[in-house]
Amino acid sequence: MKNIYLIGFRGTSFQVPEYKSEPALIRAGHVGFAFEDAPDFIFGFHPTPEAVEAVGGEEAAIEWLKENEPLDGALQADRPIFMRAYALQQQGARTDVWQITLELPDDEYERIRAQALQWYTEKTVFTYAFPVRGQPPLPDRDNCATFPRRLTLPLPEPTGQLVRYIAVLESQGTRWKPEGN
Amino acid sequence: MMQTDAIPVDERLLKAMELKLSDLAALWRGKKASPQAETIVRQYQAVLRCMIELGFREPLDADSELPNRLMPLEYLDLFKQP
Repeated sequence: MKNIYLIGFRGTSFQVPEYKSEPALIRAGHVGFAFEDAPDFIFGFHPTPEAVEAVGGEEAAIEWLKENEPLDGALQADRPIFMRAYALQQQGARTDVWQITLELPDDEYERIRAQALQWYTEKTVFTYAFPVRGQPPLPDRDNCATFPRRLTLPLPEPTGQLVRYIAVLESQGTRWKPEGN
Repeated sequence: MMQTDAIPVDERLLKAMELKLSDLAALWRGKKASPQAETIVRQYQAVLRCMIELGFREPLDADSELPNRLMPLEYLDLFKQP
């Protein structure tokens, strides 16, 4: 059996001026995943820089998503974001980083890892959108929290709403710390 | 625990209301084009105004918010710099 880690934190929000200069993912909150063989490489699904620029930048992109409009998204290398969230939490921000461990049979682990690497290296585009309720789940739209379902990973919380999802990571998981800290 | 005019704030109640806001924001996104959308906005604004009255002073997650054009001014004003 081998482990995959789901890692996430709540954002500082887009409303607080103190964090206005932080990257959008720090302000929005984020969820990523990492593999036992390379735990320092954290994959995260979020809108591509090109998609964000196309709608007018980070602040405009968040308003766009809040309006239930989708953006092109892709798997990206996000360890620096989680490092920054950890550092901000040490300074008093609410960006506590949590992780849970999913234990998988070796062959399934290898299949999922190979698929994630392929999507990352090929910059495969998927539709990114904020979670919705009140209609049947759309199989082709995800945010960072629900994206692991595309890899057939079980979701610890089904809605993908960050306030709910991170609460589950906190209650069922452990604190994530940068290796060597 | 936060205090409003020396009245202790019920953190568990506020957390439950925060979850409700998140659900309403997601519901609004799913029903944006339907006749229910306006009712959802009114409920959302009422819950958030009530939370602020009860002492809530935290920012919401981005996906728990409606677009800024629909957020109550009482909420946006919490984070305005003097």
